[in-house]
Amino acid sequence: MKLLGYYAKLGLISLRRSWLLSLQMVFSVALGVGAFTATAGALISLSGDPLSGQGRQLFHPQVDPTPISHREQLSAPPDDLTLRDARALFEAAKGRKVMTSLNWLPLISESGHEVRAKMVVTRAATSDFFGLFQAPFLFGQGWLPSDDQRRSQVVVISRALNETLFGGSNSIGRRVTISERNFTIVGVLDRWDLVPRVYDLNDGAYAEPEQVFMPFETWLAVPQDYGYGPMNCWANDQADRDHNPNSETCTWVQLWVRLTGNEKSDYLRYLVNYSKEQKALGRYERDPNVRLIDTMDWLTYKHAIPSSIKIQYSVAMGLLLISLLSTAALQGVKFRGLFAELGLRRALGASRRDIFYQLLAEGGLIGLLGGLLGLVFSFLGLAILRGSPEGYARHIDLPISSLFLSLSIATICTLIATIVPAARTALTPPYKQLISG
Amino acid sequence: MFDNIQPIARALRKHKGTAALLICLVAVAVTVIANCVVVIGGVVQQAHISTGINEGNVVVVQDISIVGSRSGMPVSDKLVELEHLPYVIGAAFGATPLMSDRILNVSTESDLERFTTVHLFDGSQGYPEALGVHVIGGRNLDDLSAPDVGATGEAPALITEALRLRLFGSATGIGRLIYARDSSFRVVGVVKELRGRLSLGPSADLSLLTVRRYDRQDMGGLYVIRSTDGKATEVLTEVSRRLHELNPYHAQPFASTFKDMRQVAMGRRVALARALASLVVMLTAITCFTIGSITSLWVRQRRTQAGIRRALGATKSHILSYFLIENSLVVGAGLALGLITAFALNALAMQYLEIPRLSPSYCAASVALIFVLSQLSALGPAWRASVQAPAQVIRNQ
Repeated sequence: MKLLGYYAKLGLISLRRSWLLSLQMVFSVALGVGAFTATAGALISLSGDPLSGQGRQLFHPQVDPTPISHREQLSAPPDDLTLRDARALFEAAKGRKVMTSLNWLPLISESGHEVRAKMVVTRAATSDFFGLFQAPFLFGQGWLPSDDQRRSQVVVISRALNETLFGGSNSIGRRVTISERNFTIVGVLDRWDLVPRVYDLNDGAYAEPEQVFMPFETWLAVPQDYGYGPMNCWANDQADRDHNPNSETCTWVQLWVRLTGNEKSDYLRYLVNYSKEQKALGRYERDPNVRLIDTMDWLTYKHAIPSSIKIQYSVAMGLLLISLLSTAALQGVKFRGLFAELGLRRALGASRRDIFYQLLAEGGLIGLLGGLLGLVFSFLGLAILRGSPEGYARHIDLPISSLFLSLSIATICTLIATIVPAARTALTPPYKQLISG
Repeated sequence: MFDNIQPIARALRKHKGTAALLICLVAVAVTVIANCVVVIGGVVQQAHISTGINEGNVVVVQDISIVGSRSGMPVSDKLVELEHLPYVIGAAFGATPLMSDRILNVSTESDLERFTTVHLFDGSQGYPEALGVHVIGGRNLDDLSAPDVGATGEAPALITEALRLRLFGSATGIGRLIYARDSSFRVVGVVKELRGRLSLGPSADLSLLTVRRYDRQDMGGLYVIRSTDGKATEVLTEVSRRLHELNPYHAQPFASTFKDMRQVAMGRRVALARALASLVVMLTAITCFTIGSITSLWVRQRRTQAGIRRALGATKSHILSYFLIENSLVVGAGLALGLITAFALNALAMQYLEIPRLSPSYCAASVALIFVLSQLSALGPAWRASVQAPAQVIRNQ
């Protein structure tokens, strides 16, 4: 230990002697580590479990009703479900579950004599949506399962819409007119920042938030002017062109079921049996082609992480690599310059190992200093990333763990970069070092 | 000068560790920089592409009827109303570039055996004026000869210069007939350019613009309005207000100046380009400072040798070129290695990160940039070595 302190002192002296060189090395390590930490932090904060741990228990079932001619090669089943399949799978799930989809609906607001029509993004969902996806409420609460069955005319609205329509006041019990129907507000959501918006990635992971939430069956019964949201249809008949939600040849419903432990394999077996049943009935052409993916894998499957973040992360890795290569090269040349003094130490009795440790300590010091400065740079980098006009920008954060990580990366990588030059210097016979002085 | 190479190579072998590190450094630098330059260059080019319309003065408002709206004003009357607003030069019903792309397969032969895929711009009376397209051949479309909405048969059309070249070569194309599956178009004029997307590909500029007469139809859709210079924002507010007045049971979910639309379309890419540019600057700076430091350290360590050589008759420029050649050998090796890895990385990045292909010109530019900068970095220390008085050096020995 005392030796470590001695080496550290030696290292500091050496650093001060070649201060320009040391400054350069510290700076370049700091740049590399800073950029890397900022982009890695962004990547981590955008790919974490948005449901804080529950994500691995929530699954997205898929079955394949498409005809064989539709996609010749064997590939993944469609992302979403037809209405009939969705309802069947929904009934079969014993635990918590939700069916959901999204579209545009016209909302009429009347203030005084002023009539204003606006299209609002509307999410159709069954009652457990809010619980399963941990939606925060400002006023009131979600609707009940009985509302689903009775097709009650109730809605939950977003905080933003509440501000626009009612100035932010408690609007529980008040009414809004959507698609010529009257709806009673039963809940107002608080600011909800589910990032990525895992329950519906069809519009991209960071799309516009919804303003109205409506029970699924109610929503189906409401007159729709502009379709029932994004649909993938494979037949070319009129039902498809009309985007009829009851169509047997259009998939659009998203289903999420909560499964723990053995339930997962049970439900998977159910999906396979269901597909076999449908094939026997003549509805399905294909053999069972089912998937049961959890939310985290679903995010990967839907490419929820924007490529721009991945690009910046890769370039930052390159920057880190270069700063370490640079440090290694500069260390090598610096150690050459120390030959005389090191040769003297060897002649006075220091072993090769002593020299090696001394030089390593110097490298570690540079790494540590570089890491500290790198922390400053990573906050700078974070600020720059958050300033981007992209939708996800405000969700980028630096988790505490990444700060410790960056310090350790800086020190360890610099140490690694120092090993080879230090070893070669330590192994040089003392007489060579003394001569070259 | 070049008989220096053998001694230089020998000298480098003595420093092979550092030389190897420098070679790796340069290789990694050029790999990353070349791929970043490709992305940045693509964004810069896209930012300067013109859509062919009068971008600064065009405004787009979407006006749609909703469930329960009473029967409203037909499109033609709405257009008349809009054209009466202050600062409005022209108004039409139809899409602009950067909105949904409609494509059509057309051919000069009616059997459509060899066809070209074009972007279709289909609008109401006043459409070319509202967009502000630049007619360079033939004449503009006029409202009188526009067929009615829903009419089949021949329709007059404007085509882009690029499409004219593609279909008719050196001929003017005016008066020629173009066939599509269920329709045909008579070329009346040629416009300079008209792109549906901010794409660099040549097919983006293959467009066809046609006009139909809207009379009593009451439809929802996009209205495009051209304002006088500098009045786009005011006109946008006025148009939205007026459309709402004309029918309160219509919604205007989308209303924007074209400039803002373009900024939204490009905003992300520009932000990425800026971030990459700053990373490239840092990469280059570290590379150059490293090369500069190492050169000056090598110079210092070989000061005696240089002095002796001067004393024996070498000129200043001999010494200078010695160090510069040494530098270029190392950097050159790094660049050669880096070129290979640059293309390899590009192949991977094209697949996983969706970046464009690395073109030889961007590659050459990156290589030249790094080579020149590294020589400049080495120039300082090398020059200092060359101007040392030999006597000084030997005396200090």
